[in-house]
Amino acid sequence: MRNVSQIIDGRRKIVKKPELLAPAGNLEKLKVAIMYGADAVFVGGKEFSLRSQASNFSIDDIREAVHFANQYDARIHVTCNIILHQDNLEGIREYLQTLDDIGVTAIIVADPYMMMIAKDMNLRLEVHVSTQLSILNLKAIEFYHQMGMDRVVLGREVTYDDLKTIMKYAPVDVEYFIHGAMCIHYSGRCMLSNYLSRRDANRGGCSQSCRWYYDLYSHGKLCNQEDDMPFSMSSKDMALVDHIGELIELGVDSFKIEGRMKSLHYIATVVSTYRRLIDAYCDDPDHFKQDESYRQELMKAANRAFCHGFFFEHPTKEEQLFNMRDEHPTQEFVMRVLDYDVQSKLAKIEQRNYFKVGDEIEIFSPHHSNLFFVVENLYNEDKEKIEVANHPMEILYVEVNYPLMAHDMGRKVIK
Amino acid sequence: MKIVLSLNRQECLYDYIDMGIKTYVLGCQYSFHCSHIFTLEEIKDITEKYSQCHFYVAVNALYDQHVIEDVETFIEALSLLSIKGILFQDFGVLQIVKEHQYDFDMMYAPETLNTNACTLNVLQSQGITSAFLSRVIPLEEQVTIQKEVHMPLMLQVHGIEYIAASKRALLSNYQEASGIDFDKSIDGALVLQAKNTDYQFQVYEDEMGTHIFSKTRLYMLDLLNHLCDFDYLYIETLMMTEEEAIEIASLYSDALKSHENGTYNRYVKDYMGLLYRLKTPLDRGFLFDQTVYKLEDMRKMDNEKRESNH
Repeated sequence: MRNVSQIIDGRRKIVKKPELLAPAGNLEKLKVAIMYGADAVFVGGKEFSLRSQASNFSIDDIREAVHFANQYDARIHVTCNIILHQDNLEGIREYLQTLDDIGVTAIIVADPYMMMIAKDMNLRLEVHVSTQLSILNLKAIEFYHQMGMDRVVLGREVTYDDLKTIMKYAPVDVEYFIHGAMCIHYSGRCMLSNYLSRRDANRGGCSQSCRWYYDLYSHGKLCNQEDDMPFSMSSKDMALVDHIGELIELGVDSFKIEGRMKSLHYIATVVSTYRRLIDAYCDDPDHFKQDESYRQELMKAANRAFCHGFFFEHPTKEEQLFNMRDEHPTQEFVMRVLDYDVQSKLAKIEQRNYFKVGDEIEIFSPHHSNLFFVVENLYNEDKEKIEVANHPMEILYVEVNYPLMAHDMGRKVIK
Repeated sequence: MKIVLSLNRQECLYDYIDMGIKTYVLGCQYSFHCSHIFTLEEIKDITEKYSQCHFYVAVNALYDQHVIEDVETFIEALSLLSIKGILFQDFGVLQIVKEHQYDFDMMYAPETLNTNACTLNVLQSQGITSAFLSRVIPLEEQVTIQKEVHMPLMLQVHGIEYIAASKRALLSNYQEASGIDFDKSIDGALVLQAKNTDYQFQVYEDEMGTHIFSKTRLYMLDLLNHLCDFDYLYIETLMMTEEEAIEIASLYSDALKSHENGTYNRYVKDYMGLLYRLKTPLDRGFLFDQTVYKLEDMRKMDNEKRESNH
C-alpha cells in the first residue's frame, strides 16, 4: 500500500504526486510537453518502436530531448515496444546501450527478449512493461516483477475497482492511462490491420482498421441496409479528467496521456490541463472542488468525444462512435508566441492556422491563466499591416494589450 | 508430428481416437474461445475415461484482477486431474502454476506474440515448457523458429484463424445503437466485411467479449514435408460443423500416417482433392506472405495498390 498523503501544518497534503507522462512525436512537441508541465515524456526511437507513422526520434533527437528534459528535471522514456520477429533481432544491445549512455530514464518494452537483454546488460535505465502486453492482474504483475521489471503499464481494460486491489499490493510501479485514444480490442492481440491491410500492427504499421465502416451479414443476409448505421468498432477517447483525485488517492505512480501522433496544440492543452488539475488536488485534496473548466479546456483540443473507457463499468454503446467521426475541436490552434515587446505591445508569433483581423483569440500558457483578445492590428514580418494570416509557419506580429510570454499559444474561438 | 485437436464434442472422441489422434485441447469456463465448453466434471470424466490420451485445457483468456482468484481455484482443481498441460496467454496463469509448483506442460499461446525464437527461449527460462506459434508469420520463419527453440512447438495447420478479441460487447453495442436485430452468438453466423474490401471475418459475442476470426480456413494439408520437426499440428474446430471436423481430422490423420510410412508424396494430391470436395473456403494466411510496418514500405505498398487500381 502506497503512502499517499501526510498532515502538514494541520492540513492533509498529497506527498506522493503521480508522474504526469506525456507523449511526443517530435522534439518541438516534447519541449512543449515539458514546458506545459509533463514530468516525463515518452518518445519513439527510429528502431523497435510502434507508431512508425509518427515522426520518430533519431539518436541525436533523443540526446537533445534528454538534455532539454534535464533542465526541467523531467525524464525521457523511449518506447521499444514492437513485438520482435526473426528479422528484428539484430542491434538491440547496441541500441539499448546508446539509450543508456545518453541518459534515457526508461524504456517501454513489449517483448520479453528485449526485457531480458536490458536486465542482462545491467543498464541504469528502468525497464517498463508496455500496455501491449495487456496486464490486468496482480499475478501477471508479479511475473514481470520476478523478471526484474521496474514498472508495468496496465491494460486499458483495468477497471477502477480492480485498480484499487492492484494498487494495494503491486510490487512495482504502476502506470495507468488517463487520457487519449483507445484500442477497441486487447492491445497486442489485434491482427485486423495485418489481415485487412497487410500492415503489421505489432510492429508499428497499424492501419486502424477497427475505425473503418463494416457491413454486417447474418446467415449471408445483409443486416445493415443502405440507410442503416454501418457497423463500426471505433471507441471514443478516454478522459478520466473527473476522476484524477480518486487515482491520486490510490497512489498510481504514473498517469499516462496517449498520443504520439497528436498535434502540438493537443499536447499543450492536455498536459497543461492535467498539470493544473493534479497540482490543485495535491495541494489541498480535502477541499478540492472539481469543476467543469478542466473538461471544457480539454474539449478545445479534443479529436473525438470523451468516455470513461473501462473505468467504471463495461463500456456500452455510449463509449463508442457510430456513424460519425465526432472530431470537432471547439477551438483552432492559430499561433505560437515567440516573444513579446512590452513597449510596442506587439507579440511576435509563428502562424499555425488561418486567422484574420476581427477573430477572437484565446491565449493559453504554462505561466498564466487563459487570456482573450480580438485581433485588431496584425503585421507581417516587415511590420506592414495585413488583414489575414494564411501562410503556416510565417512570422507575424499581433498587438495584444496583455504581456504574453514565449511559448504561449493562441486558439481561435469558434462561435 | 502429432495432431492436436480442439475437442468439439465428447461424443466424437471415439471417432478421433480411432483415427489415431491422442492429444486434445478442451475448452472450459475460463477459455477465451473454444469449440466447446466442458465443465470441470466433464473434464474429470473425459480424462478418467480416456487415460490413453493427452488433454490440455485452454485457460487462455486475459483475466481481470477480480477473476484471477477464481482462475487460481480452477487451476488447483485441474492439478488433481490427469491433465497434461494448460494453454495460456496471461502470465498470471503461469505465475499461479509456478507458485503452486503444479506439474503441467505450460504451453504459451498468446495468438499473436510468438514470432521469434529468442523470445521463446527467454520465456522457457521463465517457466513456459512449450509454445503455440503465431499464425501471422511466414512458414519459412516458423520453420526457422522451430530450429532455434529448444522446447516443443505447436503450429495451427487447419481451421479458422484468430484475428482479434475485445473485452467489449461490440455486437450488443451496435445492436442497441442501430436498432437492428440479429443473433450475436456463435450460432448467428455473423460476418463482417469492411466497406470497399472483399475480406470477410466471422464474429460472435459471449460473456468474455467479442471474438473475430477469419471466414476462411487456414490449411497445410499439402505442406507436411515442411513441418516434420514440429511437435504438434493443431486443428482448430471452432465454427466447424461436426461433420467437417470429423472429415478434416480424418484427412490430416491419414496424411500424417502416409507421411510416416513414406507414401505422402504419392497421395498428397488425393488428400487435397478430398479437402476441396468439402467446399469450405480455404486460405494460406500469412504462410507465404509478409506484412509491412516501416513507413517507407507502407508508402510503397499503398502506391502499388493505388497504381493497380487505375
